[in-house]
Amino acid sequence: MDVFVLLALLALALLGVPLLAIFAAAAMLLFAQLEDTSITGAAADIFSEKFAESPLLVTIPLFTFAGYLMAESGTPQRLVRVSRAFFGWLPGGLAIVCLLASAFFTTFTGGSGITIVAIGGLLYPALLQDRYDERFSLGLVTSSGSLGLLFPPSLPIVLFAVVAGIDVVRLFAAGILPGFVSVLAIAAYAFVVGVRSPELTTQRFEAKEAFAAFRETIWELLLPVALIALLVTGKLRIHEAAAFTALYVLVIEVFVYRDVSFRKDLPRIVSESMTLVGAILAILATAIGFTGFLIQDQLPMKILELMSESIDSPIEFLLVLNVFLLLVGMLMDVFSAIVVVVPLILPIARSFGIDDYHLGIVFLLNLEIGYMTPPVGLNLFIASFRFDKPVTTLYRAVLPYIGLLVVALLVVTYIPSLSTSFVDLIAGEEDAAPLAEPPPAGTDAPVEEAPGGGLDDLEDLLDEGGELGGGVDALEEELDAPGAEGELDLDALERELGGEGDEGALDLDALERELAGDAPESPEGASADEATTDEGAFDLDALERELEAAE
Amino acid sequence: MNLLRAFDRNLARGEAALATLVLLSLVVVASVQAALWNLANGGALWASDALQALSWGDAFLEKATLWVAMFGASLATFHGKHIGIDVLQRVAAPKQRAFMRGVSSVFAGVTCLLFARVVLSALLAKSARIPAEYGVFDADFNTVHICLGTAEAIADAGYTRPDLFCGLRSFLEALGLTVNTPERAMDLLMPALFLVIGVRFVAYGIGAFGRIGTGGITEGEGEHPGDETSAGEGA
Repeated sequence: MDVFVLLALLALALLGVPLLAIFAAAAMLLFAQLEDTSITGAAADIFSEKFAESPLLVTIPLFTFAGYLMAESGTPQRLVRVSRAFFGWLPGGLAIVCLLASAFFTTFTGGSGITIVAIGGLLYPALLQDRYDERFSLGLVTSSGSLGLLFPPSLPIVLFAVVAGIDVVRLFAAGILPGFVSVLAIAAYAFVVGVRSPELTTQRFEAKEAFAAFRETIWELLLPVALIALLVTGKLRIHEAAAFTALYVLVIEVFVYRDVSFRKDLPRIVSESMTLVGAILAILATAIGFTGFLIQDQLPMKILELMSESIDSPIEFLLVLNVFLLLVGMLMDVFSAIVVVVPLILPIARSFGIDDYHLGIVFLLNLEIGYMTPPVGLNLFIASFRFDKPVTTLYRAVLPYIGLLVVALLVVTYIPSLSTSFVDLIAGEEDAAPLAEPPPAGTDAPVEEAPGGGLDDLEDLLDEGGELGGGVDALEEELDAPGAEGELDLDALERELGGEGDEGALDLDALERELAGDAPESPEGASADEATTDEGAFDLDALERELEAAE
Repeated sequence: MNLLRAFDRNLARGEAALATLVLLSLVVVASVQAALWNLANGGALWASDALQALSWGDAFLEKATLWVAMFGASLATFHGKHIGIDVLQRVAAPKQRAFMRGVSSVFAGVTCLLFARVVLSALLAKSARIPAEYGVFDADFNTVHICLGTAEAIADAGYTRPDLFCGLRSFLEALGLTVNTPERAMDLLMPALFLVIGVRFVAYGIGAFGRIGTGGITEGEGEHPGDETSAGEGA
C-alpha cells in the first residue's frame, strides 16, 4: 500500500472515522492491489472460525449484557456499602474501598469508562467529604476505572483469547495474580496516604453493619466465586459459563433485588449493551481481513528480522513491547488494540519464547495503564466529563498511579510465573483428569483424539468437504496429479476401509461419488485465496503415514 | 426529511427489539444446553435425549451471536457510538466538528457500502458448493441441490425435502442470491446490515455538513440533533 494511502487513512482515523471503516478500507485496498487474489479476500475469513464460527464469540454479548445489567441496577451502591463495611476502618479505607469496588465492577463491565461513571460517581464526593485531597481522589477514581481488567470474566481477556486462539479459562487463571499485584500496588499507596494523613475520616468496623451489607450483597459476591469454581472444575464450558452469568444476573437483578424492570428497563439495557458488542465485533469483523493480509505478507516476520538485529533476549523484547503497548493503549481503545495488534505480535513473541498466556496478561496490563496515560488515554476524557474537571488537571492527578502501575507492570513482565503458575496448575489438572465424554461440536473444550484418528479425521474432512468442498477436491486433485508427492497406497486404504469394526468407518458412498467426479463444479468467482485457505484441505502424506502405522 | 428520520428511528426500534429477542434466546438456549450437559454427564438418560433434540443449539448460538452483533453494530451507528479515535473532534469548535463529522461519516458510509458488497461476494462464494446432506442425483447422475431434485431422487437418497428452506432459497435465487444451506441464508443478515450501516453513515454525514451553516455540532451531541452521547457508554 502506498505510504500516501496509509497516511491518508491515519489522518481519517484521527479525524474521527470509526475504526471499522478504517480497517475495512485498508483491507479492501490491500486485497484490491493483488493480481492473483480477488478483493473478496478482505472478507473471506469472516465466515470462518476466526470470527463467525468461533465458539468463543458468543461469550462476548453474554458477559457484556451481564455487566450492563449490573451497572444499571443497585450493584454499585451495594458493592460500595459492603467494601466500606469491611475495609472502611483501615487507614486510607475509603480509597481502598474505591479500588476494590471498582476492580470487582470492571471485572464484569469490561469497559472501564462505565466504572468511572458508576463507582467513581458514587465515591468521588464521598472521598472529598472524608477530606481526601482532590487531586488524589480524582487520580484514584480515574485509575481505578481499569483495575479489574485482569480478573475473570473480563471482556478484554475473552477477546484476547478469541483473537489469539488460546484457551480462555487458562487466560482467566493467568490474570488472577497479576490482577492482585496491580490492585495491591495502588492499595499500598492509599494505605500510606491514610497513615500519613490523620485528618482523614475513617469508619469504625461494626460487625452488625458488615453482616447486613454482606447479606445484602451476597448474590453478587457469590457470582465470581461460583463462576471460577464451575469453570475450573469443568462443570461449565466457557460459553455456558457466560450464559450462566447472564441468566444469574438477570434473575437476581430482576426478581431478587428488583432493581431492573423486565418490561421498562430490559429492552433499553439490551440495546445499550448490544451497541457496545456491535461496535467491538464490527471492528473485529473488518480487521480480520486487514490483519490476515499483514500476516500473509509476513509482516510479523519482517518486524522480527528487524528486531533481531538489535534485540537478543526475551527481556529486551518485553521491554520494547511494554513501551510500544503503552503507546498503543494511549491511542486506541482496548478492544481495537487487541484485534489489530495481537495477531501481529503473537508470532514475534512466540519466536522469543514468550508464553502466550504471559504475553496476554502483559498486553492487557499495558493497555490498562494506557487507558489513563496522558495525553489521550480514554479514561482521562471520561473522568474529565464526569467530574467536570479540565483534562490537564487529570493529567497531573493520574501520574502517581501510572508510576505505581508501571512498577506492577515490570513485576508482572519480568516474573512470568505470576501469570503462568495458575495456568500450569489448570493444565496439570486437565492432563490428569480422564475425559468423560467428547463434547459436542462447536465447543472449545479439549477433544481427545480417538483411536484410529487418522481415518476419523479423513471422514471429518470429507464431511466438511461436503460443505466446503475442499477436502474431497484436494484428495481428488492429489489422486489425479501424476507423480504426486504423496503417492497413496490404495491397497492399504482399501484394507483400512474394509476393516470390520473400524472406528474410523468412512462413508464410502460419499467418497465414491466424489471420486467419480460428481462434485459440483467450482463456483464462478471463487477466488484463488479461498482455494488455498480451504478448511477442508488435508495432507495426503499424513494419511499415508497413518495407514502405514495402522498396517 | 422528517419521514426519513422517523423511518430511521423506527428501524432502530425494530433492531433493538430483535436484538433483545435474540439475546434472551441466546441466554436461554445456552443455559438449557449447560444444564442438560451436566445432567447427561451425571447419568440422566432423558437429559442425553433432550441434548440430542437440542443438537441445533450450537448452530443457533453461532448465528444468533452474529445477528446480535450486527444489530448492535447498526444500533451503534444510529447512536453514534462506534469506536474511533475522535481526539480532534473533541477539541474542535462546533463548526469544525460538524465538518469533521461530515467527512468521517460519509467516508465510513461509502466504505461500509463497498464492504457490504465484498462480504456478500465472500458469503456467496462460500455458499456455492452443495453440501452432501443437501445434494441428490439427477437423471444424469449429477449432483443437484435437494430443492431442485425430483421426489424420487430425494426418496432414493433417504432425505426429506426441506420445504421451508426451499421456499426461501427460491425467493433468494430470484434476487440473484444462491445459498445452499439455511445457515448461509442466515448469514445474509451480515451484508444486509452492513448496507444499512453504510446508508446511515452517509445520511448522517450529509446531515452533519448541513449543520455547518446552523452553528455546527456541540461537544457530546449525538448523531441526531438534540441527542447527547454519554461518557462511558461505548468505552
